[in-house]
Amino acid sequence: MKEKILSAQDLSKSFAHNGEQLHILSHIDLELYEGDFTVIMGASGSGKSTLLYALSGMDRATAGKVIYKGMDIVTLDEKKLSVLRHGDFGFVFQQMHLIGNLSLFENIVVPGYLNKTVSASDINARAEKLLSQMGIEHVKTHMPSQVSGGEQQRCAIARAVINTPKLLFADEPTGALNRKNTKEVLNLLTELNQSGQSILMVTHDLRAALRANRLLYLEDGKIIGELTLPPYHDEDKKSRETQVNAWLSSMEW
Amino acid sequence: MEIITLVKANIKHKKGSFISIVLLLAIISLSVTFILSMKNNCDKSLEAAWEDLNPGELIVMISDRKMSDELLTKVENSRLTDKVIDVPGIESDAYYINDNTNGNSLFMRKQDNYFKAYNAELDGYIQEDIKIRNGEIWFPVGVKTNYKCNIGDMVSVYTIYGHEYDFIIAGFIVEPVTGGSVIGWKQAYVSDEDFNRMSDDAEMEELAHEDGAISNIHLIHIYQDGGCSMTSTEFRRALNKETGIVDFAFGSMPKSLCLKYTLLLVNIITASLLAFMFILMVVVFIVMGHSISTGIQIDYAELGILKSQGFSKGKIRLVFICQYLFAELLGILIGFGLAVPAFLLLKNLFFSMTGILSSGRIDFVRSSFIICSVFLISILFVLLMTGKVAKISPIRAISGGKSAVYFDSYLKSKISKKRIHTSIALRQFTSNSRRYIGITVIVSILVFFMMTAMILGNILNSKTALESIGMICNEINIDFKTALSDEQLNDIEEVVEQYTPITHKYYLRHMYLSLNGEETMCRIMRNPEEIPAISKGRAPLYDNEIVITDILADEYKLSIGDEVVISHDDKKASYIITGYNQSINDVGMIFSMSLDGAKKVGIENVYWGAYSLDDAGYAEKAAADINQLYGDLVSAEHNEDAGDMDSYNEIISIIKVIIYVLSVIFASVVVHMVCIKTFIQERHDIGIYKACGFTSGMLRLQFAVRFLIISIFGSLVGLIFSVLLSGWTIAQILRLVGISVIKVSYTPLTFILPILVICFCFFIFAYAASRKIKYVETRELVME
Repeated sequence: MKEKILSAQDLSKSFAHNGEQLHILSHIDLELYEGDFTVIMGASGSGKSTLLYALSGMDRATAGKVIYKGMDIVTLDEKKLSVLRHGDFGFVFQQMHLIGNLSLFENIVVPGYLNKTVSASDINARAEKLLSQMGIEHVKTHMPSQVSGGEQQRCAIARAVINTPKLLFADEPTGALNRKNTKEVLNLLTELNQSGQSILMVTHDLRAALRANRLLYLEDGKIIGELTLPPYHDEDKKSRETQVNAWLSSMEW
Repeated sequence: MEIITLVKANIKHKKGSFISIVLLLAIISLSVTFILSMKNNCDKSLEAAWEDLNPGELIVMISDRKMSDELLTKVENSRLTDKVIDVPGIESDAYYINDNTNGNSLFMRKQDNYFKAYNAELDGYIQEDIKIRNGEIWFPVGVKTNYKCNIGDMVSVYTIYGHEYDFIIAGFIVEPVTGGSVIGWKQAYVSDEDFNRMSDDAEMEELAHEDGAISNIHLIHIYQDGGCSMTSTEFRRALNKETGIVDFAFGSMPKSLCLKYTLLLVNIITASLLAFMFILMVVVFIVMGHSISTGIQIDYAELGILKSQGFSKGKIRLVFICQYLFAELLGILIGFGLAVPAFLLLKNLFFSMTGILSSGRIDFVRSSFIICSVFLISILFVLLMTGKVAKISPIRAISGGKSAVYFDSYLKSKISKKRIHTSIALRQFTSNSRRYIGITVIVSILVFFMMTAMILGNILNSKTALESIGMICNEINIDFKTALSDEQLNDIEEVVEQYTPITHKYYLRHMYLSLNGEETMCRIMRNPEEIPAISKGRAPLYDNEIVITDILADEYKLSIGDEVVISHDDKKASYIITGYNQSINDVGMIFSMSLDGAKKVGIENVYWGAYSLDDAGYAEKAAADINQLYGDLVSAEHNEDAGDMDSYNEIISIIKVIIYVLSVIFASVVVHMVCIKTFIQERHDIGIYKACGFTSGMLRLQFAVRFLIISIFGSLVGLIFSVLLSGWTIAQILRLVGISVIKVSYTPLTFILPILVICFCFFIFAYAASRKIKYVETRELVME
């Protein structure tokens, strides 16, 4: 039995636009489990990223609860949310979003330095290990503008996991990458998951979705479908693809 | 129409920058209009007061003993003069106001045509006829300033024989001749009866003693002939050459010098502030330049879109020009508008210095000329700064814009866990230092001015510094009641030295002598080796030597080794210039010689002594002992403020306050403006930091620390400028009061206070301006 790490209860998000309420998320109930690689799919505008941001505390839901360790993160103040962001949660963006005036190494260690329970030398050692794991050790002193998109994204992933988060959120992490870099990044995420990292990822990309052991389908702000798969292995890629394709077809994707 | 639409949209979108430019220009325009109006009003009001009272082109003071009908007739008959009025006066060297004296001469006269009095509030004139009553004395406003006295206060005039005349100050008068606070001589009005009584005493005193405490004099008002178009100093020279009247006088006051001295402080303040305004204008240009270049960087994509839609680079530049010039114009108009009430409220700010009420007319013409020139220059400047618009490629701009690209830098600082916020702030500065060059220059300019003002204040508050510029800083004043021998003076010195050593002793007198035909102040010293502040050459140790100030050397085209002729009454002698010294007496137009040298032109004695003590704490006790033991020979008093620089301290305080206040305002506006732009440029990074777990508080702190670092860096540059240039700058300002070489005096506070003020302002204002960080959402990083 897997342990539940985060749950959403009756989660809604709406915006007022020209005097009209636009409902982006509508009464979503969801539970995320430890060790899972969960992927949220859906058409453009279905609310995937909004859900990801609401669950991660990057954005606040209009109604409902997001429970993490017994706390409702919707009601947490900025200070407590920031503790979650540099401690329990990691985040990978589609556009990498590295700090331009910090080297790759520094981009990785800066969130680690916010963690008061770990020493600087431990953070530095972990960053070195991650750089090596991500295959970007040779460019660690480079500035983001001096490396490729794939290297930037691998750096962003290393940054997201520097504090060994309980849950890694990834918003279309391969959206801005070419085929080669996409594969490398997905391999890294899979490796992380296989080493016990829980991941919640939003993607359009079927290749990315194949890495998950749990797929959710979002339409008009509601989860309308779910598919559970065994953990990813390169060998059963073909059969997973057929299974996921069939499921997506049933979702009218 | 499309230009107007874009300008309106830009102003609406960039309210912060727009308001900042408006504010800066409003401050400049308000200050320039205010300063020029103050100066113009002081000039014109003084000129008008002179015309109104019409005291003549030259007033010559001659002792009754030396005055003759023959001399007067000679002057009256000169082709240079129109008319001559001989007014009887009484000169007093021993008068006390509320028991204080500054040792300068007081010329008392009867009420006459020149009498015009202020009301009790000193904001208008008494319209009714005034008849001065016995026991009353009327003073110019400069006396009120120098002695801090009021109507009803007590004035005592003494004679050598102990007669005392007590007066009550009945009011203050319009006096354009000696009314200014910097002029030591003062004229005063008493009743006819009091005047006659004193005159009789003065006559008796003169019969018994050549140099009494009071003496009868003649105030000769000389009016230049209408056909003559000489300046008043040329007139004095020519008249003296023809009649010798100035040689017989113990003093003279040409109109131009009276006006110059009366307006001396006003001119120093306004010149200093106008120079500061000029530098602030440079600051405004730097800020505008920064705003334009970052604006182009921020709007790179939008400008590309405009180009792709058919907007030419000329049109886009026109939008920028309209936008900035509209802000400038609005600022200028607001500044002009605010100048009116500000001026009306403070039009008599310099009243205590000039003694003349201002007419209250704003000098729009000269102000507009200066502001319009600035406006025209700014058009060229905006054109120059918007040249980058031509280089924008629509395709490159639209395909993602132009974001800042950072590369490795030699200045790259280490990011550390311990000082994470400071190290990140430092990195933000070092990784894009070009962006902060402008603001660093601004900080350095402000700090330079603030330090210069501090140094100026230090000079006027330090005894050593004052002595280095030729001030006689004494803790004990000795007024001689008779000529004293060396032995008698040694006895008096011994009284003081029982308590503390005398570091400098001066026995001297000041009087006007004719130098190459020009009436010039002379300092006669019994001990010429003590002549202060010899900057070149040596003291006049022999009886045919003098030293002159370098300002006098410039004015009279003289130099060391030149021979000059000095005359007094009917005596004349040649002297060699042996050196240059400094003095603020008569704004530097002074020469010094030994008593032995002065004896050659008939001056036998000095009547004033001054002791500078090693330990000032004994001054009161020593002065009391001198009075007790040698009261029949001298009158001693202790001087609480060594160096009479009160009036200068006052203006330095005014200049300091204005410079500090304007610097703080400018710092706040500049920081606000730069912070807004920086915030827009870095909004994305702020979102990333937040996503990584940084709180708004941490990021605001980082933001403020970065500007603190910039302000520290700029302050250090300002400090270097100050070390290199403050002395020169101050020398230029102090040249107006007769000092051309100064020894800059620093105290830790000189550096610490300006740096602290600027750094504190930058930190606080940057922290306040960064409040928008709170509203940056990590959600902004999402690509939908």
